[in-house]
Amino acid sequence: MRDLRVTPHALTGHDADREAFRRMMRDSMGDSPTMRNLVSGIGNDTDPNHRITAPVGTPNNVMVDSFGARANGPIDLADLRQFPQSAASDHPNEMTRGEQIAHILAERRSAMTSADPTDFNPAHAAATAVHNEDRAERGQAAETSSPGHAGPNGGMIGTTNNSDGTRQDVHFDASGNIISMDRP
Amino acid sequence: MTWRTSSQALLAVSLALGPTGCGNGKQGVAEAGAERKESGVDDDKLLERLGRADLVFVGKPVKLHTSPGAWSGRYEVYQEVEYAVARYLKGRAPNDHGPVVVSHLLLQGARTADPDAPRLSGSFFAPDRTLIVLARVDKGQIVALDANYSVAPATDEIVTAVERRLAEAPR
Repeated sequence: MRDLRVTPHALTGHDADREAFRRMMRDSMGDSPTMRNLVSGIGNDTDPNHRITAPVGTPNNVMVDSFGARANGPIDLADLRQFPQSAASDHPNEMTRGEQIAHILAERRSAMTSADPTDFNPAHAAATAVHNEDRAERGQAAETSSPGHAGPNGGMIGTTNNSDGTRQDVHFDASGNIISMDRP
Repeated sequence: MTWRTSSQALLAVSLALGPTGCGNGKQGVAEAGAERKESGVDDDKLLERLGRADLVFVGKPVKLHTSPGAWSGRYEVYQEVEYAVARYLKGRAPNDHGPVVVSHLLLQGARTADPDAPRLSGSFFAPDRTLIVLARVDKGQIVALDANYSVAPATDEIVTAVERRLAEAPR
């Protein structure tokens, strides 16, 4: 085990969860140049101030991930597992797991390389631009907005609107677990 | 040193590990708090944001709407607060008859957030507090600029500083 103080990045959580996240990253790098560039950029940056933190697990009240106070909030592996590695042929615009991971990593990197790592909005916009590159590689329409709002029975709905007018609603239960998706 | 292949870069990210332990999302709260003044806000950061605000007002929160129940991250999640506006310092709400509704970002660990659950802090937005709010207007909706530095207790000091900065700004 290395010391956090001298390592550039921190993937934290139980061993099995960290391994699962690594596997997801590897799979996503395999089919996305955007993801490879993103991970290479993170890996090549040894500035300790740019260190990104990725706590992986199965937290409550989190829809895929939480930005947290300083781009260091928890990442929900159970939610990530619900997204497919590739879009189905009859749902060409549906979100993929790689897109989610690209967004999460790009958002944290953007925050940590900015003047204010606590500022969510510019980091979120930068991450959306990166994951839209991933979507473009897959022939998918760009995402234009991603509001989260209250759903039935104390649950939540995460909506992504796309530039071609399609949208995807992801339904979460009251604990933040994905229960269904309306795929575009 | 540069990584020659993406696989090496992946190793750099995924194997350069610190101590294990489940992320509970609480880390960083203290870090954000360390920058704050006793009054609860970094005045400079609030003043820096004035140029981005369509609307700046002083008012009291009169109603906290129900939280959607999750933190922002992959999705942008907002909770609404109704304000009784005492005075506008910049701009004016599109519909300022009655309480003005402002959407506040729900950001875990933020100054405006409840430390224990995904909702705004009831004590920060208590009805007996007078706050200064910086917001943008997006398609008729009023949205606070961010979760940390766009709302603060409206002390005489900060209100005066805002008025002075706005008076100096080019029109």
